[in-house]
Amino acid sequence: MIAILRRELGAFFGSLVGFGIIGAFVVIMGLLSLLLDPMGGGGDWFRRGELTMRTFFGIFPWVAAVVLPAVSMKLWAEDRRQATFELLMTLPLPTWKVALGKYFAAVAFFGVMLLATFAWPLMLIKFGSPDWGPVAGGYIACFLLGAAFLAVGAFVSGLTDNQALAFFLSMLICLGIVGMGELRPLVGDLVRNEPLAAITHALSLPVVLLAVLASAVGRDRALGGGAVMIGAVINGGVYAISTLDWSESTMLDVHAKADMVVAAFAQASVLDHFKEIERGIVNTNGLVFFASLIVLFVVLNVMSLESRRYG
Amino acid sequence: MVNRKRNYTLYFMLFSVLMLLALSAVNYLGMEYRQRIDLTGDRRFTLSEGTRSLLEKLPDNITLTYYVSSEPPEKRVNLERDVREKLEELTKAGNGKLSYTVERVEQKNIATKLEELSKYGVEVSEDFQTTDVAEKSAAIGVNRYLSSVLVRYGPGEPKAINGIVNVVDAKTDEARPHRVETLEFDIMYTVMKLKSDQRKPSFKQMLRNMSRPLNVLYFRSEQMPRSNPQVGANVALALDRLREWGGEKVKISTDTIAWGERVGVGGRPLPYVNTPEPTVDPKEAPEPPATPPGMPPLPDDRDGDGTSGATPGTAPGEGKDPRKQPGGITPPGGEAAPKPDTPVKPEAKVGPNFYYTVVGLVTDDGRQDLLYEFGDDRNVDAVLKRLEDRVWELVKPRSSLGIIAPEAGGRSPYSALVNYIYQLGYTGRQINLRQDKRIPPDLAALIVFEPHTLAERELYEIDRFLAQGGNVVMLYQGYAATMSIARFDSGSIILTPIASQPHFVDWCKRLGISFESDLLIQKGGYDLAVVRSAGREGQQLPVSLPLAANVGPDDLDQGSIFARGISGMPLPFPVELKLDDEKLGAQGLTRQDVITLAGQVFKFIPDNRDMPSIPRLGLSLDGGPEVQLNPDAAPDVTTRLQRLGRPALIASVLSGTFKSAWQGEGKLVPRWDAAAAAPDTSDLGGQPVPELKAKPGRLMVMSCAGTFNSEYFSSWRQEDVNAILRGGVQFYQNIADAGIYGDELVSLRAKTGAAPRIRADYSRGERITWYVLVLGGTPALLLVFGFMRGALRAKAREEYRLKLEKMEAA
Amino acid sequence: MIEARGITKYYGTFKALDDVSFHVNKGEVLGFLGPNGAGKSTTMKVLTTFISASEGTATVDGFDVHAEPERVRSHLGYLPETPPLYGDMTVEEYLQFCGRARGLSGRELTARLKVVVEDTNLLPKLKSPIVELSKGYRQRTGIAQALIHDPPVLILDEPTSGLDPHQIIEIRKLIERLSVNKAIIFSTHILQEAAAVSSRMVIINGGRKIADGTADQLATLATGTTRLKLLVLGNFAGLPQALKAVAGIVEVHSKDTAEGYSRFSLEVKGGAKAARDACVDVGRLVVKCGLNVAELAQDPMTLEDVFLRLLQSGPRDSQRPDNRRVDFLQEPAPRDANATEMGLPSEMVQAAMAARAKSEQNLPPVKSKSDLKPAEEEGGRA
Repeated sequence: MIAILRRELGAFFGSLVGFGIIGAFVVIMGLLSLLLDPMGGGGDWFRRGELTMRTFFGIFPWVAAVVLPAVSMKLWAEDRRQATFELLMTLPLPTWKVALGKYFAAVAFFGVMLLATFAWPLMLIKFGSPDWGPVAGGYIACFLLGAAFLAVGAFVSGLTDNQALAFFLSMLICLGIVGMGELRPLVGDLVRNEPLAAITHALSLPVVLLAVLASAVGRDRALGGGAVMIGAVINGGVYAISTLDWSESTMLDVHAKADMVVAAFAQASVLDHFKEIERGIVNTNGLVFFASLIVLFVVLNVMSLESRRYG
Repeated sequence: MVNRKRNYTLYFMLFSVLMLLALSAVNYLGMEYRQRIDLTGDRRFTLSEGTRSLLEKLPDNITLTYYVSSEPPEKRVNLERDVREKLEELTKAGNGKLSYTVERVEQKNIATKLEELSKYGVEVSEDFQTTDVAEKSAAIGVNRYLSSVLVRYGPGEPKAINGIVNVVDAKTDEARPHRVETLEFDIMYTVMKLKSDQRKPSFKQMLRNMSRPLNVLYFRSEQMPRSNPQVGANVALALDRLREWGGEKVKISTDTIAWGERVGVGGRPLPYVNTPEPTVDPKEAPEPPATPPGMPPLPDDRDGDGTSGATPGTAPGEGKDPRKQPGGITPPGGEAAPKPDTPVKPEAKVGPNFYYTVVGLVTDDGRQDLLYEFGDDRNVDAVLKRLEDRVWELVKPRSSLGIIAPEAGGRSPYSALVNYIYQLGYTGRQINLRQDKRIPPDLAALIVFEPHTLAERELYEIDRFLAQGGNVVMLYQGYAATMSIARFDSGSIILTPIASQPHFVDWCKRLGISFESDLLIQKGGYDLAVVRSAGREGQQLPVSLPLAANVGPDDLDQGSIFARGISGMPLPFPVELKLDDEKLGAQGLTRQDVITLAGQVFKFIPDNRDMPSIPRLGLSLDGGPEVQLNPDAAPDVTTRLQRLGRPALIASVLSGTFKSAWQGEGKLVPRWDAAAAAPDTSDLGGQPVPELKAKPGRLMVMSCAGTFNSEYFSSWRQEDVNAILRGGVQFYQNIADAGIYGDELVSLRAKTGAAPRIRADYSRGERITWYVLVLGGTPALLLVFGFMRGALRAKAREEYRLKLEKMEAA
Repeated sequence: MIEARGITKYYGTFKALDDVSFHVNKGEVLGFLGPNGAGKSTTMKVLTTFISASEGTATVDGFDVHAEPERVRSHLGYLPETPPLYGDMTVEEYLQFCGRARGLSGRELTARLKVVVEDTNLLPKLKSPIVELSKGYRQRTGIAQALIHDPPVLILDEPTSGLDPHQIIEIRKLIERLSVNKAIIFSTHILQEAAAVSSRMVIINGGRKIADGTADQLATLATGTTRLKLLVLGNFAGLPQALKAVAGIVEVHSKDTAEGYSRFSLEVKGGAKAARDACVDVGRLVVKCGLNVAELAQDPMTLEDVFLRLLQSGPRDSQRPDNRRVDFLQEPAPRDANATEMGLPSEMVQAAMAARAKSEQNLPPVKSKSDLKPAEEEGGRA
């Protein structure tokens, strides 16, 4: 595992690409957070006057969703394209060790990326006495989110031998994860107006998702396609039914359960956890959540790789 | 043969499901047994030591009820959790003394719930849904939801903290007064208030113990409704009871209003009851008359806070009958006499369907309340119960602030403060030492405006008050400014330095306090409008200059109770305060800086120090360390701005036992000067200083007093003035609270959650340097690293090649 | 050391391997022979646990590839068809990585590295980035990688492909050297390769094993005749007919005539003895016809012939020569150049061409069958 980690790290730093990614990350983050601040309504950091890294951490999820897939895309896709995949899969190591070695290498590289933004904290020291708690919390949150993104990216990279495809796919997923928080009002509306539909979606979507994953992992198109079809039919049907007139009493019955959907959605909202830790509250549910995300995708990665043996 | 592929797929599905279940379970556990570490520097999300020790000391139990909508706005989906977390933490720290319940209120039940709770002051919260697009938010509209903590402490009425939010959007939510971060303070503060609130005694006791007389004015119709003919008599009986209990202290007057007439007080109509049935002719139901003693007029400027009772309608037409103004009524003196002009209509067994039962309560210190419509209170006891609460509000002892302010022509520029303090529920007492001769010892705090203009004897009294454990706030003002200018476009603001009395300078020097003479101007400060007359019409046109410092979060000691919520407070024409730490230390005084202007601050160095004037044009604060004003327009003028280059201290709190300056061998009490009123027996002028009991006190010194100087904001819209003065009002409330609740409150930290600020004085070069460093520092390092690595590898290869060659040769 | 038992592998519905069984003992080198796409690589991937067999299983050094894949992997070195190299690493770094990944470290790793580098002659390029290496060095690096942990079993997928003859010989020597205490399987579609190195050969085609045995066994297995070559000075039109009449001769091919010489190729039924007898008769006959014998000798059958014949005739087993599979024979091999991936002709042509290319160097000359010529041209154009 260590050998794999070392080799992958060597690959990151052995090529210009690795340095390029770090440089690009630092420059993009710097530009966006120091000068442009699109999330905070624009304007440069000095004018805003706050001695914090809020602008940095605020923009990070979006930048990470674009940059980190570039880190993770080559993890497996490159090996898959070369014969080295065969080498890795015939090493006397269990697949999970190989996968973990690669994943940790990516995470370590990402750690270096974060370290490369060291000028930011230095600037804070230079311009006053900052509150280090939120800065530390922010870095922890960034690290966790980035690690989760990398897990997603590693998984996607393991599914294809096309690096560009892996990049775009993981970027889309990561952007989706970040953007999901924006869906909250929609979910809330849905729950309020069509609670039955919301519950059905909440129950059936994971099933569909699981089936899609299973088909991606097992490369069984029929299974995935079928599950999506069935899910779509169920969801569409329920949605159609629920938009019909419902008596007050039916609405009330489902209402209580629909609340749980919103609560579950909140727990599953990556950005919420990110923001909470970023504020300086390192908490168990946030940590557990990110750990679960990472475990989930690393395991999926391992299983998808392992399933190639049965292709 | 086994199908390995299918087996694997099954295995995968099973494993995935199990894993998802396991992960869900772990997540659930993480939520259920949530633990957290607060990394923030001021432990913003954790309880402070002050709270813990206060909880320990409290004799009674605290009960908190959190009313929260089951459906708060989407973005606040974690609101309940966050508040719960804070309450849970408080409960743990309370060691059984504090308990809480959370009551979820469904959206449709909010109105009902509010009705039930509004008597405790619970209010609905409003929130705009955050979707960044403006139209969207307009379309979705306002969310009304409930998020209030009701604090019960001891036997008294509970108090509510309304509109508690969790910070979701840093920009807007941090401006909210009650956030999860401030909840700890809010609760403890409320508990303190409840603790110090005196318990309501019985009505009898209350009336007997009143410190001042209570005037009760009763306005009633001659005739009462058929359905409840006794209502008027009931009120009269209840008022009789009041007089019986209160004796001399209760003065009751009854004004009977003729059948069918409508009356008003001071041009405003009195509320009456509009009944669905006709009222009864007085002859059918005669009532025992009340015997009102002489009563003062009900002032017409009462505010509407007493009108929470049912108001079925307002009388059409205002003040129709000026004769009915109570001020014009001469009490008949114990005799029931119908008004001579009462229109007695012979055919009228049935009258107009409205009637009056209005009771006015007026204390002689100007507080008043109005109750009306007693139709629902069918017996005397019910009427009494209603009166009791309202009378208590009026007569209960209140903390008061003493205010010593310079007056010019009977008017003080700081008089607005008295009104504001009044609104906060405190009493502000204007003290004119030359007349009153003494400072009342029961003051929560004494606020002294422009102490440097006081006579020595006045200062002596204040000094003694402080030495005996009083809370004193001294607000120095270096300059007075005339905001209307005679000169036209090129006009200047003329400043008048306010001279300090030598005894004040000495007094300060002894303590280690001094005030700089230079006027400070802060970049980003409030624009004070210079009102100039334009043209023949004499139209007032404001010309704005940034002359009042704007206290921002970075200028405040966020942990101090004194700084709580005062951000945005304007400081017109401040100077710098200097404290000598050595001297303070030698006297055993500790210092807590409250306001330090950390933004870009400039010293204004006028051309003519004796008659400084600020030119309207050329006041640019964008320049370097020193700006010469108007170099082109008037090269001979040397007025300039100099960058201060350090934070300027404006206000600091000194605490400890102050030693009186007049204490010691041979010290005599200073005399009132000749202009003062004739000395009375209490004047000790020229005699040896009497002993005093030294106690720890608190002195806040501040180098700016002009916050409430209404002249400076005269051209502003009232809403804007209110908005910016709110910080100033809060400042005085903080001072009053610190005086009332003492060290316990001061030890509480008021966590604001506001971010620290960038150091004020950075140059353009520094800024650009850091742009370059942040953006390019790492890439440059990477380049160097990459080159070095490449070079090292090449070198290693070359060495290896040479080695091989050698080997081959050998 | 290696035992495959009825390995069958489906890719989707396509049957890539059909009931392949064989075994390799310690000290044995098994040449795995077959046209491209025959299933050689698939078999090896199953043996290395890279993929699982749909049915059947195999053991490597006593461990089942499905039950204990990691132990199997630790006991074998595997060189895939393309050497699994990381271009960004130097040879040394790469070999160190492979060693570490297989559990070597410290002094042991250094020692093994030295041995392997010397074995594979990588010393001059040790510090070079792999991306700069030539094909030969890459291949050798790949082999070095498979050897670094000194596995008892070596599985080499076309170890000599793309190498120049000198390198090929080196690798052959290496394999021979290694074979002393290892079980080695190497695949190739080049017959000389297999013949030169292997002690035994397994030929598979279309996913089926069609032959298994030493080179001689396979040759006899393929045909029942021996070939004689005859060069005659002078011309006599009746000679072919006369030759046909000689006892034992079943076939006569007149080949070419130049400078007064005529060349014939004679098929004699039976083994070497029959051939010797026929030689005497033929010599006598030629002289009798008034012609001079310029050359008369046994013409040993090339492996190409054996190979092609085996491919055409279907699976045989040296151990069970009578076990012919009729169903296979009924499946006509498509002959056109546009044949499917599994179509034989172009594959065979390529194999033959490759072989001939080698023969132009310092290898024994190889003859192509004349009836393959059109197809060969097709392949050449492609």
